[in-house]
Formats: sequence, C-alpha cells, structure tokens
Amino acid sequence: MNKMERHFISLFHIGIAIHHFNKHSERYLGLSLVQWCLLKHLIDMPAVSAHALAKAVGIHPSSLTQTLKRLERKKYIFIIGDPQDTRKKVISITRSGKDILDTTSEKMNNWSKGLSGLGNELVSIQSYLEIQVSKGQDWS
Amino acid sequence: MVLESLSFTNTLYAFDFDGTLAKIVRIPSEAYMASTTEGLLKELSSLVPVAIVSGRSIQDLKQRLGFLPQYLIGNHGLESLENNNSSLVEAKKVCAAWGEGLKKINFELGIEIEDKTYSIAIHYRRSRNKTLARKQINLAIESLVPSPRVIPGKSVFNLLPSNSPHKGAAILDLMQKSKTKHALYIGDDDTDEDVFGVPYDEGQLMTVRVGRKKSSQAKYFIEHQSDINRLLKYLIRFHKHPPQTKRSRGHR
Repeated sequence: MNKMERHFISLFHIGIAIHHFNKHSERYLGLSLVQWCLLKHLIDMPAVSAHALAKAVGIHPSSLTQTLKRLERKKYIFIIGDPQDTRKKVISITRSGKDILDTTSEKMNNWSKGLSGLGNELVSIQSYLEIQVSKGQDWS
Repeated sequence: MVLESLSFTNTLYAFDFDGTLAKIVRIPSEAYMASTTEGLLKELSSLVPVAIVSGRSIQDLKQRLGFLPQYLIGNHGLESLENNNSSLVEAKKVCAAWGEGLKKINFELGIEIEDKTYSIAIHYRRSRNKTLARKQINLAIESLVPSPRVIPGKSVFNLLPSNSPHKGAAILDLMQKSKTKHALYIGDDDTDEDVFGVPYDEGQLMTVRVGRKKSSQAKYFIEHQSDINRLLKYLIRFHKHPPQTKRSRGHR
C-alpha cells in the first residue's frame, strides 16, 4: 500500500470512528453528533423550515428527514404546518431539546479540548473532501 | 411552543399600541391600555427588551403609558426616543404645510385631522357615510404637495413624508440597537404590514397579527385583542419560570 492509499484508508477509518462516536453519543448522552448539530442551529433559528435549516447546516434537505423524525420522537423538536403555506413545515426546538442541548454541550466542550490542536487539520480535511465532491467531472 | 423557542435566544419583543396593546375605540384620544396588560408588559419589560412601535407620536404614547419600555417608536417608525435627526425637522415642516392645506378643506362631519407633528392622521371612524368620507379624503390627499406616503389603517389614513422610514425599518434598527438576533412583532393593522413583509432571514422575525386576514403577510395570528394578555403571560412564564421538563427535574 502506497502513502496516498494509506491516507484514504485513514479517512475510511475516521468515517467508521465518527459513525461509532455518533452511536455511542446517542446511547449515552441522548444525542448523536448530527442531532446535536441540528439542535445547536435550531436554538438560533426559532420556527424555521427544513429547507432553511438544511441550508444553514450545509446538508441536503432530504438527508435531514430521518434525523428530524428521531428528534421529534424524542420530543426535542416539534414540527407543525407552516401557517402561511400548508405544504411547508416549521421546526422549533422544545424546552426538553434546550435542556438536552445544554447538558450535552458541556460534555462536547470538554471533549473538544482534546481536538483543539487539530482545528486546522480538521478544516483542511473537510475542505479537501468538499472540493473533491464538488468537482463532479473528475469522478467519471 | 413556537413562542417558547424564542426565549432560548436573544429576542426583542415589539408591539403596536392601538388594536394590539389597547382596544380600538371610536375616539382615538380615548384609547388606553388595560391595567392588566400594562402590568404584564411592565413585567415582561423587566425581563427582556420590549418596544412599542406605534403610529402615535412619542409624546402621545408617553401620556398613555404608566411606565417606559426600553424602546418607544412613534409616527410609524419616524420618531424614536433618542433621534433628533434632520429627517424629523423636514417631516415637521412638510406636515405643517399639509396641515394648513387640509384645514382649508370643508370635510364631511365625522372626519377628524390629527396633527402628530411628524405625520398626519385623518380619521373617519365617526363618519356616517364611510364611502363618501374615504372619497373625500383621497381627493384631499391628492391635492397635497409634496405627495405623502399614505398608510391606510382602520378608519384612518396616515400621511407621512414620502422618504420617511417605516415600522419595518424601525424594527430592524431596534434589533441592531438591542443586540438581539430575533424579534417578535405583534400588530393589528395595515400599517403593520411594513413589518410583516420585511424580507428577513427565515425565523428571525416572527410576526403575529391581531385578527385573521388572508392577505396579511403576518406568519401567525391571534383572534382578538383581548388575547394579548394570555400571550404576554406566556412570554413572562417562558422567561421567568421556564416549565421544567422531566430531565431538568432530575428524573431520567
């Protein structure tokens, strides 16, 4: 295996580790990283559409559906019809959602100290992957 | 519940006066805020930034309030507690000229002209023939120089200098001054559509109209003016005594 291949194997393992971290976080803290991220955005976006939330988080609206359903089942958010347009939905964080966010944010902050030295590297990896995905023509 | 989510972040709570905090009355000078509403608003004002944004002049508003909220905006956004800019001087001059012009017109019985220094309100609530009154007022407005910006309200035409800021601009300005990320605005009138229609990031400006109206751009509605007390009580409760969830009570 050459050096380049080893980098991609590392990325694959990071992906697996994040997946495990998410499952672990949801089991023991009540929120996965994705759920935490959505609630964190919802605090500053009271009564927002799924489309606007997806845009703020930087993911496709269809990728949100399952996470929003899980958060709604846990009563951390509620989803109601948009009073101005019945085809749209409005999402808001609940008091329980705010409480769990406060609790987990404390833990997340402690953990993030362990990542503090990696700030630039994490951003570089993210940017690199995003650039590769956006260059659609290079994949064919 | 949507209201509660506002309490998790920095929010400015802004209210129109007539028809929202105070009941609409036949004689505008007799409008007042019920003591319960005033008490609740005062309590809310001690917890969060509160603004009253009205078409009345600030001087008029002050006489009707038993306390001063953090922000008071008069004349449909033109007048604030701290502003003394040149646009006010210009507005005063223009309104004085309009006032002179309107005085010369022989209006129908029941049409009243209210000079609010920086804007003029022509009321026709007490007119017996409202269609005729509206026609007469429209003709009078057409004769004014320079042409005013006309904001029709409930049995009233509000005349403002054409380049004057409106309630929507005033709310955005207040959000900056109060360093709040979000605002809740409650109003009842066509003059409040300037706020309801403000193009702002989704969810950052929550608008509530008193009384349903299909053509309104307000996002939410409360049915009656009397519902304002219930709404104020909710807001106070969310900020003062947040309802405890199972988790925050400690039973997991």
